[in-house]
Amino acid sequence: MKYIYPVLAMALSLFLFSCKKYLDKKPDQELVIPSTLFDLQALLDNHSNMITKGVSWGEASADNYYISDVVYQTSITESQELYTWQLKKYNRYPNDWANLYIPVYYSNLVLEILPDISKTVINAEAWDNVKGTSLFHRSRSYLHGSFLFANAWDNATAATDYGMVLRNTTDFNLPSVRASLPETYNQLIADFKEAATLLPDNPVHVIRPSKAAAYGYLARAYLSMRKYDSCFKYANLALQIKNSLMDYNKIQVSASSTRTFTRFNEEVVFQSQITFSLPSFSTSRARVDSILYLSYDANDLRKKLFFLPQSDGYRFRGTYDGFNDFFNGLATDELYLMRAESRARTGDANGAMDDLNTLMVKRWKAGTFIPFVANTPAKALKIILEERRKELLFRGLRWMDIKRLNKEGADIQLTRKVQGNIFTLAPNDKRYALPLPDDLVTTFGIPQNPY
Amino acid sequence: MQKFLALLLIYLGCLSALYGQSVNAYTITGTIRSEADGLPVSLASLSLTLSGTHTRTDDEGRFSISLLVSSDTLKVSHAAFMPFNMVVKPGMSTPLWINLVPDIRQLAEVVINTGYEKFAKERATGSFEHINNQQLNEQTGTTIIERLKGMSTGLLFDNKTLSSQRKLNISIRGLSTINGPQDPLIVLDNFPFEGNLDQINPNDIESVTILKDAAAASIWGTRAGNGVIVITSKQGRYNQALKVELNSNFIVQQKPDLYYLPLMTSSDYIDVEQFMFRQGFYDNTLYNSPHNAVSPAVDIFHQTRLGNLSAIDSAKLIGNLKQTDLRSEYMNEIYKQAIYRQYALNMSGGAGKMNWYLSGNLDRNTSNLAANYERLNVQLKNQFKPVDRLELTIRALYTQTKSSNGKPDFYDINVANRSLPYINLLDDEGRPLSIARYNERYTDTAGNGYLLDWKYYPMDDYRHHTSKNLQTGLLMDLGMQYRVINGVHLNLSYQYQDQMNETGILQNTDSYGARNMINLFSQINRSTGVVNYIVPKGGILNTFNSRMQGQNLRGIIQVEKKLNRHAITAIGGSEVRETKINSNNHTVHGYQQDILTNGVVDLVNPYPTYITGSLSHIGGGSSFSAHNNRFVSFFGNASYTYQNRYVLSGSFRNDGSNLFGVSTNNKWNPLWSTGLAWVISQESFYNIDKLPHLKLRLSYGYSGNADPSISALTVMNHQGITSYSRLQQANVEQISNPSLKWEKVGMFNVGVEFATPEQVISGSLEWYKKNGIDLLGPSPVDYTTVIRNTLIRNVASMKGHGIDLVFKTRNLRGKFEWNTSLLLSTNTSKTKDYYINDPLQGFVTLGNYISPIPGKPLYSLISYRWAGLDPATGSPRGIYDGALSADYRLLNAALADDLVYIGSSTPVIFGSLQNHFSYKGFTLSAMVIFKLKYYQRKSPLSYNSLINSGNGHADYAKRWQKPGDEFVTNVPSFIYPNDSRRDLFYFYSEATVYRGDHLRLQYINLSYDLLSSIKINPLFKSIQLYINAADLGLLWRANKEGLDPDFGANVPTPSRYTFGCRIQL
Repeated sequence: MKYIYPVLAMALSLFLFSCKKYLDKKPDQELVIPSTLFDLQALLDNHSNMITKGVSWGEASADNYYISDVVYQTSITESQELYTWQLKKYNRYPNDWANLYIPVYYSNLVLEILPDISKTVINAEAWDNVKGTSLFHRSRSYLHGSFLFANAWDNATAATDYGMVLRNTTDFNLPSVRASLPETYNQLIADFKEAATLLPDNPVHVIRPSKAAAYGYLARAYLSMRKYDSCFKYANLALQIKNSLMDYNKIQVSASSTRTFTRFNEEVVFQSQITFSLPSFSTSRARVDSILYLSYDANDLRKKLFFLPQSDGYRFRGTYDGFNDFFNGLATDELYLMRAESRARTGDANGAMDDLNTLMVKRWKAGTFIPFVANTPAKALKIILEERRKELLFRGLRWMDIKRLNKEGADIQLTRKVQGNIFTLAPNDKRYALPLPDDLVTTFGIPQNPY
Repeated sequence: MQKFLALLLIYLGCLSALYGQSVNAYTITGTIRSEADGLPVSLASLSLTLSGTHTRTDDEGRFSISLLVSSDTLKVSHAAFMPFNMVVKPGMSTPLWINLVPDIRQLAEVVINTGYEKFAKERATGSFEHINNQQLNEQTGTTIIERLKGMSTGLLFDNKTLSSQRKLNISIRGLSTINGPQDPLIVLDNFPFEGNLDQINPNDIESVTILKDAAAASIWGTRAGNGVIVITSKQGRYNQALKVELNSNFIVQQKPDLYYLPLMTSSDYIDVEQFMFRQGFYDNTLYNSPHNAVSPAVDIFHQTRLGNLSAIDSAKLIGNLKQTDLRSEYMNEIYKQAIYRQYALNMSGGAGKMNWYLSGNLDRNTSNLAANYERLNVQLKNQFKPVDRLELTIRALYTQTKSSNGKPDFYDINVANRSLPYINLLDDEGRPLSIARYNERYTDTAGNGYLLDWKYYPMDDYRHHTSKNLQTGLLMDLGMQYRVINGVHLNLSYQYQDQMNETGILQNTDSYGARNMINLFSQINRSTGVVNYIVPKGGILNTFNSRMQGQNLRGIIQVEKKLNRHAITAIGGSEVRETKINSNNHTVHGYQQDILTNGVVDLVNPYPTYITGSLSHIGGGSSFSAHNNRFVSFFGNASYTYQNRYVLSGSFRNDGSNLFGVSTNNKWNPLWSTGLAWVISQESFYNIDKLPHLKLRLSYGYSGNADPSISALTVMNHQGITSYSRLQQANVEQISNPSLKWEKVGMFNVGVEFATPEQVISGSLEWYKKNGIDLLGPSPVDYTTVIRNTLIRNVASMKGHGIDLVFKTRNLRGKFEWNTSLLLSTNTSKTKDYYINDPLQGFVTLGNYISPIPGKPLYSLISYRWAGLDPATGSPRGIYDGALSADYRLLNAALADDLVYIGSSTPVIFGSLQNHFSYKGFTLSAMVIFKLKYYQRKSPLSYNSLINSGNGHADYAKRWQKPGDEFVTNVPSFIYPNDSRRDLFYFYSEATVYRGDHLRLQYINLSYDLLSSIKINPLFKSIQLYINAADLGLLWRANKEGLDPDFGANVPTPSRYTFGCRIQL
């Protein structure tokens, strides 16, 4: 009787002690709770989450291509509306908005866990790489998102323009709030800059971002803001790290091949691909705008390497993805063109032409290239923009280019002819900011772009 | 083994000697227990005739009575037991241990075991169903669960598609969940049984209790949502003379009836092949992949086309093939009757302070296809009282099952992945024939003699391609019950479960699998004749090992107090549970069984394969997994009885688990129940003599359902090196949800129990309503925040209701007895709230999966509207947007209004009818099971399946062939090329639905007690011979097609005949 109470007390305490700790054991050991640098790097190295779901609607809305009436007819309504800039309401999932926020989620997850891992002398490089990579991917989504869902940057109106939803947490219980365009740009530029300090000059693999990539994206961001001095600065910094170009004379491709280049080729600074979140616009169905095709010189190797003649027009085969997707990563040719353009716009016509000719000599048939000459920045700019149009097609850049060039007064009018009907999109139309998914607007209260 | 048994007996002997006897005089003390279950009998009257003294037993069956004369007769009486008399003298050894034999004519005091406590059914407020040993013995067979068929209301056996959330195909009062686990909790001797249920030997089981409502089950907390089945095994009793039971039986099971299957005749099949051959269907294979196998008939057509066969020879060969029938070969040559042998021996006994139970069981089964199964159970249970207040329990149960493969089954025989009805596997002398895996013309000559034989002989290969499974299980219990003061007990119990499962699949050197792998990766140097074996010669061994370890520790304080008219019993306690599962599998090539060596293969690089030269990986390697579920629980249960007529009960339970979210574990959020019982017939105003027993019960409460497949944490999954970048990559599998919790099932139950004098009519009627809330289901989420547009959250709900009726009658009494019992249940379970992300046609199915459409039964049949066959073409027609249509693209995406909701695909009404007849030593019983008010979908003809997979269907003969046929058939015409959408439309249309209602003769049992007529030896207490016939087929079915709705397109379980003998010493 005497000793039963201690026994009883022991029995009870047995159940009560550290009950909480006991329940922390993870239920399935194959399923890992991310906690180590190795885990985080592996999450960031998942190409299908981080880089192959690149946004497609800019390319789908731009003027690089057309689709036949047959393809149009068999397309779903959302695809048809997107093609003719009539898209207003859609709930189809996945969509470009959803695809943009996949890298954002992963980046935030990593950035949430990273502070729990102490940075030591031994792991510092890996630690920095994980952090820089996360900042880079998140900023890249915000930048590409702004190209699609926001108005082109305009100092006059930016303060009241909608930007992106800036998520800095994985907690889905916190509501999404749409930031202004300057808030969006401020964060992405700051994060790209921080990433540049953390990332290595050259990556282990081009699916990982690097210092050169961070500089390149900063240049792209400033270009879209039409801040050419900054664009020059960062394009230049990027080119100082990586400036290799392919000589197109050395590219062999069979007449019928649907792809000319290899994946991860020597010009690629950062790999990324476009995924068409709405069907109908795949490489095999889109036909290259015929005026654009005709603008290539016969000695311009790109005319043969980029295009495959089909019974109903030309198919683009010049993707740097090397497979079936359009490439929307970063390559050195774009860096040259950005530096050339910002030099021309800041008055350095000679420097601009040097950059352009460095690139173009690799694009023309050996022995036929006559270097471009321009004696004024304006003339230089005109040539550079023409060559930019011919070099960077189907790179996910044209939509942003149209938007910013129209702000510069380029007056680019878009037209689509569908089943005898003409659709047009005037410069600086509100529809250049594509609509957000309707369910997010109605169910979760994210503000829609004003139309 | 013998040594082990000898040691055990010595051990038991020692214990008996230690705790044998003690002496006291003049005051006679003792304990009275029930012979049936060993539980104490309270309130039994005792009197000494001459001394004139009287007493009653207390709650623990104990008594003390003064003996005043030198010799007296002690009379013991109790309403539920046969009277007992014995002569008592001063100085006789006490305490006395008296076992009373239950009076079966009286309302037997049924004892309910919830796994936490035992109490008389009288005191129950909840819904329990007790199945006693005699009822369990009505059915025979290897598994315990099978023996519950038809034995309880609310318990339904069905044939839905099994999954990790549904392993058993049994449900209690319908479903309570949509996406969560659907199986009831199985409890064996007070602890959840996590292992393989087949390991439990039915001969060791004393009784089964089904806990059906919240008041009954909610003590099991988050695992009780689907009901609980509590299995209690036999055990010894204190002061019990040695008891030996031997049960041995022999079961013969008929061959499966393959002619039940709706298969095409060989003649029709070959005609279709000929048609397709002419259409050029096989040309791609014949000309572009000539190494690939084609069916014998197609080969003949091809050889005839090539001119290698004359038209006459060809016709003759085809004629022969048309006469060939694989089904008849299986039925006549390959299938044998399955044999099951069962031997069960148990012994038990007890002295004053100890009791023991020892059993050994052996089962040996041989299937229709000569697959072997063997199960051995050895069990020892021991209870002893080192001091009066303390009772210790030890139990060890060891189980070992071994199984090995038999011949390949009918369904597994195919050529080029097509099931041909016209091949033979044995020649006229019974020697194995080969069937083509590649074109045998090619493989016969491919290697110029350098390769191994490349033919596949199904009826020989099973000897070389063997699968052996060994499962060993150990169950150990340690228990302690300490009486702190009278009426207060402290219980501590610990259980350890350990199950190992090893499967070895060996394809030895002679197996087709190994020969094929070796040949495929052989590199022959034609000039030197040297063969380079990339896959070494020898066998291929795949091993799969898994181990489940469960640990339970439970502490309970139990209080029982009686004060005049008040009685209180209460338990409170806590427990910790852990279940760990580890598994791994490995593949080894070049395995030499006799010398236990293996070869080395390169798993990293691809190698050219022999036939096409394409590169291929060898495959194999190892994989590992580990799971760990932990629960910490606190629980309590109390019941208060006033005047033996009002009972109020309540229970609560709180569970924490590593599966739940942090915020759930941190909250005190118990599941609870409460119940009320009123024995109206005990009231003074009650005076209905024709109904001496009438009790009303009410209960309400919640149980839970935890899903081990979903946890609350952010979980990632390492996917290994990707070919894209050759970097290690990972993925998030599950998004953190800190508020994830268990599903909750609320149940309201009202029941009435009644009995007429002498139980001529007795039974119960219950009505229940249940609400499943907080069910896991998809809910839309802002995909700006996470990587999905829906997340699984506790957002869905369902509701159900039903009736359970038990109606028992004793139709004839006396020498010839006839008893009938009818069990009838109804259940409707419907989805209430569910977010449907997909279009509705995703739910147009076979009815084997849950289709969670709000307002519809969880398992329901939804079909395309059928508008008959087109009189001109024989094509099926439906309704789209209200109009007649044969546009299958539209029809397959039918709008909600054009879909027909047919009805529930689980029986809404089900139950059983049992009759028992006994005359002298003979007992005859029979059970009919009925399932009513539900629908099933046939597995209809699919031309797509016929053309592309070679699955013939008997309905081909009934197809539309000419105008006018549409009046007599619904089977569409055969068109080529086929339109798979047309097939899909017909498949899931109203035309393929039938009523599932049926009556099944479950078993007939005849037993004879030998000792009723012949006296052999007083040593034998009973010798019972029995014959049982089970699975006797349907007595009635609503469908005209001869389909058995429990089996659909599968062969029904063949009838079984048992011959057995049960001896008691």
